[in-house]
Parts: sequence; C-alpha cells; structure tokens
Amino acid sequence: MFGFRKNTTAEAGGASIVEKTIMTCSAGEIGQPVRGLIIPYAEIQDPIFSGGMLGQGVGIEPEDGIVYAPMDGVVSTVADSNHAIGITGDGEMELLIHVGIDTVEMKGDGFATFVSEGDQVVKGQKIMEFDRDKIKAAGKYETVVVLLTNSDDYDDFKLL
Amino acid sequence: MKEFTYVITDEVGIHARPAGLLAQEAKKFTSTVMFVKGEKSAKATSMMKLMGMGIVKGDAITVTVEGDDEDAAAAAIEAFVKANL
Repeated sequence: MFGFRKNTTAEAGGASIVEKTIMTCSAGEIGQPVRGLIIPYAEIQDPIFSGGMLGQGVGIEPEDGIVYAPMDGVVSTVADSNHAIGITGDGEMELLIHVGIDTVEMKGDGFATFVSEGDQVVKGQKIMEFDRDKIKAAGKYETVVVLLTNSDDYDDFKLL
Repeated sequence: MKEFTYVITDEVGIHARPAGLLAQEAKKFTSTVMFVKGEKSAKATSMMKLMGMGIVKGDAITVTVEGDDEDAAAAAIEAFVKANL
C-alpha cells in the first residue's frame, strides 16, 4: 500500500527490542514494542494520556516505524484507522499501543496493521508499520503511547 | 434496569480517548454499564473492550445500566455520551 523499505537485518534487530521489559505486574512482563527513547508518561503531549487517567504506561519517541507485539496475547482491538492495537495478555492484562497523538484524524493514512481482532500474537511478532514522515507532515506528535489500560487492577504494577 | 439508546454523531466514534474517559466515568458507579451494538456488547469499564466494538459515526447503540446506583449511573453515562459522542 505504501513503500516501506525492506531491510530484514534491521527488522531482526528491531524485534529484539521486545526483550527489554518496560512494565511488569503479577500477570506478566511487557516488553518494548518500538525502538526509540522512552519518555515518562507525564511528558506525553496529551493531557488525557499524561494524566494517567487511561492507565499507566510510557511514551516512546520512535526511531523507526515498526511495532512488535510486546507480549503474547490475543488481539482485542484494531482501530479502524489502524493507528492503535489492543492486546489482551495473560491474567487479563489489557495493553494498548497507540501510535502518535491525535493520529485518529489521519484516518489510516500512513498506518498498516498485520493482525486482526481475535488473532493470537507472540512476543516479537510484527503487528504494525507506520510512516513517520506522514505523521510529521500531518503536524502530529509521533510519540507511541504504550499503556496498560487496566493497570489499576494490579497492586504490583511497576514501570521499569 | 435502566436503558437508553443513542446514535453516535462524533466524527471518529469511540476511539482511544473517549473510550478511556467513558471507562473512567463508568468506574465511578457500582452498577454494571453495558454498551450494546447489534451482536456485540462491552462492559463500559473496559476501555479496550469499548474500542473493540468499533463504534463509529451513525451507529445506534443501546446502553443498559443495572445495579444499586443505576439511576445516577444512567444519568451520568447518558450525559457523557451526549456531550462527547
């Protein structure tokens, strides 16, 4: 649909990023889904996310446009506009990966997903690609928001 | 049980932010709040399940509220839906 460069070496290197654990709770560990700099949740340029109202998590300033499943699970939601994917993992962990801020307004342009609702995914599996240039051209922040939407359900939830 | 129906007028429907805010609103009450669209239904306290409904502009939804504080919960959820969706 749009011209992503094929670079298998880079992809293999990228997939290993999920081995870095960014959050834990009694239900399991969540890896880093996208290569890039992790920023504190409070620094995300969106008052709703940064306020922690939707659950705890982190922001990632992406270095490339590939998203890997950060844990095993079942795909519970794929946004119609392909910019967000929800995965339900062990112990009912409900994880949301949301690429960019207000990117719902791009109506899918610049986003490709490789999974559908109900699919099983394994940690490290490529689930989405996004075009960083298109996000910037649309005037949006490209911060990838990774949040455990039901973090309140776990007494021992921890950001690493 | 309380119940109301609503047709979504918001351009992008129930995406991440409104789903999250709605879940927060629903968690303020002890009653069970369900969003129903055709065959699909979701507990309003689950942001991800709400998003998974794929509710978009023009969709007719039914909201059911059942529990001890159902009157207050139904009023609050209906007000939220009208203001945000």
